[in-house]
Amino acid sequence: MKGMYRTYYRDVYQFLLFFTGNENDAEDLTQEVFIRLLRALPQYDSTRSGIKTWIMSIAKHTAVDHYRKRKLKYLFMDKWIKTLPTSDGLPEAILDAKEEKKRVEEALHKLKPQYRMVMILRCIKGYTIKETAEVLECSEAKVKVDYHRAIKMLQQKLRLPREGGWLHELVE
Amino acid sequence: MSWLSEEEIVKHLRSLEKKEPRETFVNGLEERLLTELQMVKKKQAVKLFVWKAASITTVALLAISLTHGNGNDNHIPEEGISTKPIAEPTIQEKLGYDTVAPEYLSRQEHTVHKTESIPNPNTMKQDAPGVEHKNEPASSKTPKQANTVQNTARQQDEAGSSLSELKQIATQRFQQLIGKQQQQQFEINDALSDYAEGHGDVVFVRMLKGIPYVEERYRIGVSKDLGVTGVQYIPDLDRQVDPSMLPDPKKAIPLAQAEQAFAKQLRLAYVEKQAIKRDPFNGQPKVTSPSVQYVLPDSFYIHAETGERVLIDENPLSLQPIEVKPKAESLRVGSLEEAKEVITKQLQLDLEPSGLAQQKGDKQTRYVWENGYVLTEEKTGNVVAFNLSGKSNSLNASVLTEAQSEEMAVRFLEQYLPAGIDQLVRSDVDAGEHQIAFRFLPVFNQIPVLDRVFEVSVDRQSGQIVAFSGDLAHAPENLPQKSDLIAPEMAAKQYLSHTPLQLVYIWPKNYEKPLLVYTQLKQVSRYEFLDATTGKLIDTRP
Repeated sequence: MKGMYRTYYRDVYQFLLFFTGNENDAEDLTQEVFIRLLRALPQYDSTRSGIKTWIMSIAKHTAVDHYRKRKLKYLFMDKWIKTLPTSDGLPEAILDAKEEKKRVEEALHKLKPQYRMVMILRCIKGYTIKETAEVLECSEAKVKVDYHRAIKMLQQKLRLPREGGWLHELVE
Repeated sequence: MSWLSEEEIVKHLRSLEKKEPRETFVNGLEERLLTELQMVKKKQAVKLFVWKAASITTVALLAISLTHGNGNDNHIPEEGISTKPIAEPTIQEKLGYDTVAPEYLSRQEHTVHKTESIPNPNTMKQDAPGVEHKNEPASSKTPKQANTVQNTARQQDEAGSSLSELKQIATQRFQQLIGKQQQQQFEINDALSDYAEGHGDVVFVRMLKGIPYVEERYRIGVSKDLGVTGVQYIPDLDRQVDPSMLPDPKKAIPLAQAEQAFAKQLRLAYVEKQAIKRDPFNGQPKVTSPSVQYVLPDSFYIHAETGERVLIDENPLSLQPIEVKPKAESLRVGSLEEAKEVITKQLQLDLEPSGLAQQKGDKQTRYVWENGYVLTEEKTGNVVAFNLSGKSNSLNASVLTEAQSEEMAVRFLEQYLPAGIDQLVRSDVDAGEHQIAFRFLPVFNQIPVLDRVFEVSVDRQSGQIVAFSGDLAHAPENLPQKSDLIAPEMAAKQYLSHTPLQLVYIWPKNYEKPLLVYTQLKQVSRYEFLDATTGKLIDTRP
């Protein structure tokens, strides 16, 4: 267990951090993933999937579960998506690059969860299509379709930052 | 901003900083996992021992009964004694886990592999494999797995000596770090600390005028066996607190008044399918039940001088009810031909002549074309979602206002809402330049149903409904009666007795000086809910 934890905690944490955009949430969820993993370890069937894929699929379920609950809570949480921070006196070129990155990150967080996860796994974590499909428990064709749709949505959001974005995250 | 190519987007994503988790967190979690593993193994050993003892006892009783029998070859057992062969224990019995049965797990995994989508929560009643829904309210019987949270047992180690040992280790280290004199300006705050069996994170908060100043604190990870596992300093580097600018705690309103303010902001909500038991593998609900609850805020601050709520980075939402007259028209698709009719005539969506394809999923059927899809329940054909994703918009046409768009959305829902839903509340809106998306909740007995969301997206040029999701076929059922509710003051009193409000100094961004507020430092878990019929905090952790 210790070896497994030390090998994979970083992957799980970074996936959840990119998904939630919040370090506290990412820590909370990372803990939850490994607790679930510990309890489910006897049921692990290595013929079905590799250990890394299995762990990441638990992370995916945990992330979706967290997302659903927060969506219901937003009704009474009175929270909106945070705005971009103001500049902090950096040279313009560096500021532009930082702003660009922040916009990309913001746009990533506006994607619906399924697309967000595909982008995190494919582009940020560098998983293959096959690995991504195994983690997300869907077909490779769907990963490709979602990837292209996500790129399209990111292009739209980054061109027109006020485009709406959260509809139907829980469907599809 | 110019249009980014795919390559540029991917390059940006790849260059996003991959942050490392805090060392204290990593070490602390490892410690916790090892402790949990030991507990699990102990339980396993105990269960195995009990099983063996039971087996031996059964064999002995059987042997006795056979020995003292009347010699009849038929071996008719005496009443009450089983003569079934002793079965090998299942994996669950051996391991002592309250886990999902293997056949269920493999069925669920198989189901998950077939499903290409995240299930719509509005259709969970029909769709979710293996989820049992009980019609009686969640509070009518205490489920095994959902335990009333009487105290902070998950966070506080009830073995007092173990806890004080951890605190002692942390205090010694803290004193070494900052010196005895500085140490006296800090105190341990249990609400911010985190304790489990044998290890934890002890948080020291700076005290100013006898009140915790939560913007500056130290977190020291400790373990009974390993000692100090990590130190984290959370400073308030941007600003220097001048004690003379701090509000006088003597002018603070009494705690009782703050508690009243807390009770006043509690809002009722129904959750039609509240999870009361969860799958330990993936945390998904295994057993659900309708519930009525007081929704707990994630963050709550009461100004200690004025008694008013302080909103930090928040915009209050208005929950003005919208009266509707449901027509209960049918929106269903049973075949590819019917789909074409519904899509083009009823929904008036653009359907490319090149074709409409039908795809079967897990208890759902999807009708797809190049620019959109319609999703239905497989058994009934009821439409649960549609989306016209590729619709192009003319930029020359006039733009509908938010109010006009909302009216289009409500009119659409009215056509198909089932009888019994007379009111909606708008819970969220996301306005884009070309489309505006709304979320509505149905209201019963003046209480919104949180997990019955209708999402409607309107094209701001044409007023056309271009996307929708929700359960239009069934009104929520078996919701608890209002007569069963307890007053918010009573619920708040019970809740605050183990998650109390504390008087603290905070210094939010965009404020010129610190504020003295009442707040809860412990965060509400997503697995907990405050039952409005009993006032108890229910924990549904897997």
